[in-house]
Amino acid sequence: MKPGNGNGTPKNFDELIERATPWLSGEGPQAGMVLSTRMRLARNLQSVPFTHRARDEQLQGVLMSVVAAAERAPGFQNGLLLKMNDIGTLERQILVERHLVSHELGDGTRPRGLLAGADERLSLMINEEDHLRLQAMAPGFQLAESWAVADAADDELDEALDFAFSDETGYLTSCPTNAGTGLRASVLVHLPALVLMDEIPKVLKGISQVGLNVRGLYGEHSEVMGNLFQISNQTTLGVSERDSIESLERVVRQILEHEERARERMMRDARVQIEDKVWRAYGTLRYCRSIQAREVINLCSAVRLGVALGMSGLCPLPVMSGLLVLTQPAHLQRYAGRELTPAERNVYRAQRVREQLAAAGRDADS
Amino acid sequence: MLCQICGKNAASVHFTEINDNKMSELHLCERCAEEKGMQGPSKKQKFDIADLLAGMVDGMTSTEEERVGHVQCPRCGMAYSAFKETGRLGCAECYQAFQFQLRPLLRRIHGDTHHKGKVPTRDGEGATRSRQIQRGSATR
Repeated sequence: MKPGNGNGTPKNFDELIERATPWLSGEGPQAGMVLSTRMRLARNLQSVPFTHRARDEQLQGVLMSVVAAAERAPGFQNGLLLKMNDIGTLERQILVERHLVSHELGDGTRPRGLLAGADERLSLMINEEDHLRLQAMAPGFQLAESWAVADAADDELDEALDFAFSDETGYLTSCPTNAGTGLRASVLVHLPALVLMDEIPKVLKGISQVGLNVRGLYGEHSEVMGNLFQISNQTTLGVSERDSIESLERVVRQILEHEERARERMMRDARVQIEDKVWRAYGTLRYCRSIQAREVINLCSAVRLGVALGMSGLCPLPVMSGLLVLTQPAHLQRYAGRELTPAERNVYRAQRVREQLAAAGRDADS
Repeated sequence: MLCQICGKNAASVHFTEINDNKMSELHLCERCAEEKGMQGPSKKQKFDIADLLAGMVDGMTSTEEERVGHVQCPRCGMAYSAFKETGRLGCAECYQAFQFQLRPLLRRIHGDTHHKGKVPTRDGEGATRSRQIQRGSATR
């Protein structure tokens, strides 16, 4: 494991963010409708108060214990440790934009850390709301596979750490909403046809009725943009990991079938209007000179739909997924190498988008 | 669903109140929720589960707490009243210290109070065996 140091050796951080984040790879099962699958397990050490009640030196101890345990865990071999108070605000924000850390972990004022596995599919937030937040991410719809990764890493850490657990309540977490399995399984789905056909309110209502939860692209408190919905299990106590995952899988499959049928109906009844919408979105992205992040996300949604519907001449899904993150404020400023005002960001964002689409077009021609 | 106060706008803020073991639900539009002081403008983007929990436990446990007096975790010193404000417990021991208050809350949140998932290894062989059984059924 290599120690990360934002001040002296930013190379490690650069390497981390140069790699394609799995959830942006545009691959995996059902990639036309599902961007990514994520498993999160919340764990705490028995002997230390929960993060918000612990002293900094206790959290420092948690950080060291967890890192030592992870060194022996195969899933974290050749991983990278980034201590949040060693790296700058911009770097922390980049990690938030890549879904590697939460807003809470990214505040950088306490001994907190991110341990990223070698291929970024496995990561561990240390001293977030809970001492450990283990996260396994995979492109596309891969619930069972992601669970296997998270479960194995949890077992590896469990060999060396004494997790807070009671027979009755299960894994004990800072917030009782996570107690029990500590599992939050989520799937990031793209549902443009259900939104366009005005069928989404019914679907969202159905999701909440079966005990699942829906959020936007950036998790809790985030609004839904670009027709992207994060669907996850709500309850963690009285239900096994298997049942939580199977129930989520069943519901998401049904939603995907609805979306598929809505796409077919849409293309049957309004092909020209849909093609027009898709190509206008592509045209705007290809030639814009100033654009906000929200507009990029919404236009990418239309282009993504076009690609999934088999329209030729658009750019591939990985490029569209990449734009979701590369055009976020911290990423843009990192590429620009300086702080940008919102107006400057809009201009620079437009330039980056044009460059990405032009490069994708050249790749397609060659 | 329309707001239960004005009956005009769509209800987008949903509350569950529990008083004297009776649960009631309230569905309001943002404006009426704000006017009732249940949602300040600054909280719109920052609605936290802690706020929800604090609201839920408030009505539910006041009588219990009055009965048992001031409840405090013997290990971390956290008072139950502090949990009601933040929605976060202080340490693992708090679950034991506040068990009588937490049980109805856990039931309300999860619909259950008994863990059915995997088990850590530290409890010895029995627990390891239990985990293997769980894992056998957890992966398809």
